[in-house]
Amino acid sequence: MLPFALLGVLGCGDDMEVAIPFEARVGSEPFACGRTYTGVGTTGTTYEPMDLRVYLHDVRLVTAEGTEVPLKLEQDARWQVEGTALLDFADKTGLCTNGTQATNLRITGTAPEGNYTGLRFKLGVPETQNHLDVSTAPSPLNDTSLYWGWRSGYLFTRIEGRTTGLPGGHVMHLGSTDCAPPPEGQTNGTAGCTFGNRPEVALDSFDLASGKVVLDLGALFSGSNLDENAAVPNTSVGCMSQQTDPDCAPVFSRMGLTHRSQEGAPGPQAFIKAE
Amino acid sequence: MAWRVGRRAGVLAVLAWLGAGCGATDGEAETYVWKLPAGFPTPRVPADNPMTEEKVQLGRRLFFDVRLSRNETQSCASCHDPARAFTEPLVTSQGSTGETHRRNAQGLANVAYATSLTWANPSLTTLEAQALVPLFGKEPVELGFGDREEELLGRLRAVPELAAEFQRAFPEAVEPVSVATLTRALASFQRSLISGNSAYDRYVYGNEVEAMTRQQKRGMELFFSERLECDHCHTGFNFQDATVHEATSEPILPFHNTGLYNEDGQGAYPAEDPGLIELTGRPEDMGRFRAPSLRNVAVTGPYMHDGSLATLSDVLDHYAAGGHARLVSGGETSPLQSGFVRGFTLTEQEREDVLAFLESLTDTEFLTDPRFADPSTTP
Repeated sequence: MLPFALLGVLGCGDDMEVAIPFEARVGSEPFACGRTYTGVGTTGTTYEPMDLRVYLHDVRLVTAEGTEVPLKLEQDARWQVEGTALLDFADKTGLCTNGTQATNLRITGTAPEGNYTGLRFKLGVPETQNHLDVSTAPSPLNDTSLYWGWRSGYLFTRIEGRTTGLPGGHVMHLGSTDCAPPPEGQTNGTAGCTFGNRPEVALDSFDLASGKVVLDLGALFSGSNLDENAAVPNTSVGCMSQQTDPDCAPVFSRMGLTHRSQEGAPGPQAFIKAE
Repeated sequence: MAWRVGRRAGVLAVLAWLGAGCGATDGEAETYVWKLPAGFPTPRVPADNPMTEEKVQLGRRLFFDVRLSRNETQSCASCHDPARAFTEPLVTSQGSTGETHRRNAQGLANVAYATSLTWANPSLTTLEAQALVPLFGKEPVELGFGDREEELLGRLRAVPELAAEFQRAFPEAVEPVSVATLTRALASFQRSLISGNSAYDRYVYGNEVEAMTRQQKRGMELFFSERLECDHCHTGFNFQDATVHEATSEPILPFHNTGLYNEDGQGAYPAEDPGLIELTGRPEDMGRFRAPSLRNVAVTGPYMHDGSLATLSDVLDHYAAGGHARLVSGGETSPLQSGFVRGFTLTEQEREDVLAFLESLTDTEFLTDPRFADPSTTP
């Protein structure tokens, strides 16, 4: 649960409007559909974007003393609803044929006036929203291209690109897996997922006035061979969050997530940083 | 889990289209005439999609419409043929672009009563949600509209008489042609596919003593016997344990490993399709699949999730051996298989009797019912 009690302590004063810009890159290069990037992953392959969309939620600002204060996301009827936001870097040019022409490169909301030095959020859609009816849910939770019909949950990230070795495209779809049937006596939802797969992103030094959040696909894929798909039956080309897919191990590690086939603990979250 | 809705337009759209849903229309839902066979309970229907004749008719039209596949080569009925109780003779299905599905198309007779949909998916508990899989799924591609939702809706909106029919079926909807209305119409039609007029039904519920032959009655005794244990999974009026209806207090979602495969002596199924474990991750779910209803089973072959058993005779051999894995390689029972699959011995006569009983579950009227036929050829 969000620590709403804190608002009682810190609230009451004036709220300030907050807008936080997000930028995507591949290594040092700005991300754009239609471009070709080189030197990506362990094989230094070429990478041509096909999609880049990411959900996030549970956004908190952090004070110098380390107190977390929720950023109340504005409900704009398009990109943000009930504390969940969709970032969309794909504009339907080049190979990016999915989704919308429109992009969304920032989150907006309000927080109590204060001196904040850090930013934290989680990737993905919270459990309370993850098993909605996509056909009637409010935007941005109404997009069938961000929904796993057979898992009855959302794709937290949809990161796809054509590489030299995988001309049909390499996919990185994050989402909850290993979900139990509905709770006793219920016929929908799930009693819980063993792997929620909602990475915590903690940017401990973030300047609200001038800072931006950077998603770096180069860093995300730095341990991955994007030219080859692991020859394990019944797994995706790339990673669709399956525990049985070794292709997930290096990307999960860079998101700070454990994966069955990892050796040892995951590395620190390296995909997203502050500038 | 319900979640509190906010106050902006996105949410209003939901509420607006739900105007046709819960609360407001309790009376309206009762206006649909199920025409249920004797002994059949009233199906459970989602609160936000009450049955109406208009939705059923629209759903029927859509079910047979090849415009529902991107290349206009397939409709739902391509894999779900009414004459075969909405199955097809292929071992496993083929999508509109030629991709091979790993599974055998399931029948839709009495699907309104199924607790969960498809072979092994505890999260697909409504036909509305299930419809998204063939429409938008990409692994494999079935109807081929993955990432092409707007193209599909635009195509349907461009057909004036179809758009008008959506409007009539969903008069409250802000946008009459949407993924929500499309899936609700398809679901409504499928819920109307009730089959309960087989020889067995006429004998048991209709008191027609002569409806079943003596041989079929002998087979029935065997089917329901502790020796064969068939009815533990193929139970009740629908011969299916995963059954839910209006009076069900606690729906159950059972899945079973029948020992069809045992790749490693530990009960492993082929990696291409390990069953329920794929979604739950629980080791005990290896090889577990949903037991299908046996209604019209004589016309729904081939059998099993992968279509690997061609005839009912093969299916009997599988269960008689205590699992097909033992039939082909002998050896121990899989540690994961259901305790009800223990094997049994039948005389040749008894085998014939059981097969004759299964034939008595064929509902010829259902297979040829004009209400369930393609409206373009059978108005």
